[in-house]
Amino acid sequence: MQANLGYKKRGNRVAVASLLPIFLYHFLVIVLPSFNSVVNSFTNWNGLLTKEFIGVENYRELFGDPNFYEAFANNLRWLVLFLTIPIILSIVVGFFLAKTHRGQVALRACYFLPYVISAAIAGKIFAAFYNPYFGINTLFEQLGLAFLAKDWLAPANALYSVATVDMWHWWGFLLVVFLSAMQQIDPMLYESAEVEGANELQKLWFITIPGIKRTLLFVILATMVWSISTFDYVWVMTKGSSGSSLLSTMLYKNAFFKYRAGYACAIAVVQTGIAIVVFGGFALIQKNVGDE
Amino acid sequence: MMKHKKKRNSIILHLTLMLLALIQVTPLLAALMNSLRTNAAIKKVAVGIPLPPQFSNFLKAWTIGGYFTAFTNSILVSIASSVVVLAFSIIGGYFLSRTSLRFSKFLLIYFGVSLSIPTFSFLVPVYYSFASLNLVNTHIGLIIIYIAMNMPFNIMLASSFISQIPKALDEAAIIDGCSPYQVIGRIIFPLAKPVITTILLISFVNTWNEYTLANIFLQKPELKTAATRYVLFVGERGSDLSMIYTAGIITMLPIVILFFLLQNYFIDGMTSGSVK
Repeated sequence: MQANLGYKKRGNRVAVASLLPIFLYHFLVIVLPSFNSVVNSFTNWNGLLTKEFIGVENYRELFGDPNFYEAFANNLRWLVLFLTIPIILSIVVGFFLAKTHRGQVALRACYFLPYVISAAIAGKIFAAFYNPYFGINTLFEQLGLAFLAKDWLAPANALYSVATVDMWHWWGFLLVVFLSAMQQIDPMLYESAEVEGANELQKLWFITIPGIKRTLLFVILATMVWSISTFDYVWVMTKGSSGSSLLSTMLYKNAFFKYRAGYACAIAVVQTGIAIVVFGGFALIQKNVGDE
Repeated sequence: MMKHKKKRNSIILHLTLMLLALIQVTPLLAALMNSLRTNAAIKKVAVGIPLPPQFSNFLKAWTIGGYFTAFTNSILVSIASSVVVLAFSIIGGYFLSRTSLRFSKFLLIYFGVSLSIPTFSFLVPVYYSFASLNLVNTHIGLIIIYIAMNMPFNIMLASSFISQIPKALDEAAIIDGCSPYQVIGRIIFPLAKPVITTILLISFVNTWNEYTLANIFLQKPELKTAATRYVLFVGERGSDLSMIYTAGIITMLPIVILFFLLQNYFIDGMTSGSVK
């Protein structure tokens, strides 16, 4: 394969001269600061001038901090919710939507619409719906369903109430992702299954799911990485208070309110570390799946 | 018999899918209705038909919400970052797909891996370096970060699109004496229109909707983008419930209109790269 621009040497020089600034730009703004987070996590940095090396003190404090375990447990709850409800919902709906030709585009638009709305807007509007006195509770009472009324953003419920909004926003996106993967499955497979008398559930399980395996794995990976660093909906709706703290809200408060930038960096390192482990694990799985 | 049952099932299926779609848009319709009601009416009945519709809500929210400034800020930040991302993506994508230098191969992996870097891993050091460079509370500071964040994905997208453009076309132009940048401008750019639309649209929408960084880097109300200004507005004026809904509708309207006009570009663009 001839692999240059067609200019020989000069073309390669132009290519490097063009790619290098793009690379450096990204490296300086994103990657170098990520390494700096690691370095700073070993200091008592306050964001300004004070910055002394304190060894693993931040990590020792973090792993002894009950707030850290509460936040981490919430991230795990978030992960469990997002690994199940939106994925199952979008696969099942996608499976049936793929067969309906009439109205498919309009339906898809309705499911997808919340995905284009900013977390800031959706979060605040739903917070108004969750208002215990003037929100959906009053609707439930008027409909004679008063038993459904709750203090939605109180400690026992806040995390799940917020996650519900994020899932509302998220599953339509997954639906479109799975739908386009499903459209690449050979229709002959379904036809022959039909001849053999397979029911819908069997078709979903034995044809559709294996057919979208790669996409599904990708979605699971993305869900795991994002669940560890999720922030915006929780911050907009509860600021991480009332039992809905997350690693990222804890990090945010330490970095920008308590001026404990070094400690915040330690939280960031733990977060990123988890993402790397997940990524590495996924690469292994994908390699095995690819070998099949 | 069989046919009958099939037809009935298909009707049930359609009704279920439609019901689900209705549930999905109900919160937005409720917000739209409430945006035209008075505070007192909302406090009495949480969601209802706006009778008579309070169109004055919109003027009020627009004025006290500072929406003219907020939208100007959003447009400035989103357009500036999307245009630079586009330039980097087309130039980067062209050289990445047309060369097999070791550096290009490295960059493809580098950008692929950087897709997974969480925002918080670089946020704190970037914030405090920007603070010392006086880039906090400036639009340019935020634009610099948005460009970097949107770059990896869009460069890879452009690179995979451009690699499908026949190389013979640029070779012909080179024989005619075009420089690499003339090839990009005259051959690649006109042929890459679909991917250009996607890149511009997706980076525009992403930056327009972005909350976390905009909230941290722009603290002065007059600098804030629409989404972050809205959160501030709700904090200050949220005791008037109608304002939460009215301002919310105003803030989301530009993107929702864009979505209905360019639905397919949205859906294809936002999901591209995730399938395969």
